[in-house]
Amino acid sequence: MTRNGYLGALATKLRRQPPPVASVETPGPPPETYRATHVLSDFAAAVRARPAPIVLDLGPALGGNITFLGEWIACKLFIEDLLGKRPAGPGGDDDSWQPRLSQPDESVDGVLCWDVLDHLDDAARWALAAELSRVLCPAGVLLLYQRVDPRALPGRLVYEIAGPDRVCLHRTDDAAQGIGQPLKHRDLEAMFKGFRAVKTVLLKSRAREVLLRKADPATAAACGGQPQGEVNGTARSCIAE
Amino acid sequence: MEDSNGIVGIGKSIVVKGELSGNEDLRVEGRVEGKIDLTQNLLTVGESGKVKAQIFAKTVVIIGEVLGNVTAVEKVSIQEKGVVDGDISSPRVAIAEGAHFRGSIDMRRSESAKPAVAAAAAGAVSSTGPASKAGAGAGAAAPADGASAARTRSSAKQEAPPAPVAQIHKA
Repeated sequence: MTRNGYLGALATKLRRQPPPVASVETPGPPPETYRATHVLSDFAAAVRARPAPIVLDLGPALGGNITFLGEWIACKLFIEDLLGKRPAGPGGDDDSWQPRLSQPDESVDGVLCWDVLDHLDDAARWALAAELSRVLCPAGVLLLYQRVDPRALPGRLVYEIAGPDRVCLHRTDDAAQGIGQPLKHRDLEAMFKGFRAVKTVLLKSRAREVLLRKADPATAAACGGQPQGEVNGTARSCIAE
Repeated sequence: MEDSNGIVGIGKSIVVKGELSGNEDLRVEGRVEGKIDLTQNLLTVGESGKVKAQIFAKTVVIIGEVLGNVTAVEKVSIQEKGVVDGDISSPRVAIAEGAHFRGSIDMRRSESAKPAVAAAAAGAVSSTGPASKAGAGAGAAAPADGASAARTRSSAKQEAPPAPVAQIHKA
């Protein structure tokens, strides 16, 4: 191609390109935020050690969670989107609603409870705690992930596992899901009597992760009657990124 | 009916009631009610497909709607617009964003199920659709039982004389 021919072709190509359009702010998809998790791998290890494990996820069906639980734990998974199926009252939420789980007593080895308690009132929190105590097997584990300061990330979040040490937080458009009073550790102690805190991590992102293990009477008997189910006996606690 | 890839398909206007079984990949774009048994093949429920059946296949790809329990030897994949209302039993399950799923997922590779749970669920194992979810172990033994049951069925089919089990109607 001659110089004129090349320049001519280039000029033609440039003329064909549409003029630049001024960027317009359009509402995009809900923002996603990645956060560290320091207890998920402990949860996975605890559940994986049990024969034919059964896990209950108290959130919506998410591909990342299902893939992780299949590959890391190879479990049977029940999904109960408690907040998703809560009936909405005239003012947003139905205050009389109390969570119920369909699983039989002591049938579940592990429960993932991401940010659910934050969105419930006191009565519903206590009811859910009682339900979780009922369905968990002895020595079953419960992973709680909750915000210490709701102002840091307002609104309802959906947690999707992005790896053994990371979760992706999807912000939802569900404005009806208000946030109740943040739970303190002593609230958890009161609600989950008969559980022991295996690990507690206060994240710098103003969230708390807690891994609780339900008391196992058989283990307690083997240990000479030492109480195994006291939530007060926090084994490990730390502050992390 | 075969498409250009040689995959047998059930067209949009076809309604099948009964049991479907065979040794070929199948794509469903119409309606199937009853049971689908393709334990060595791929089953695709297409965008317009509506399946109200128990499914046994090697791999299941769901783009349309399935009401019933799905058991796959290798993998179940629910695509973006896919809808599944029932229990899934497969070592690998993929659910795309936007898919709708209601039920339990059994990804256990071990063949042993919890005796206590299995006993508790014994009365509830009937089980098509979400009704079986009430018992935690309703599908607890599904991988092993489903596979062996499928094997039993296929061997029985080979020995028994073929019977017309599927009715095909134009919608």
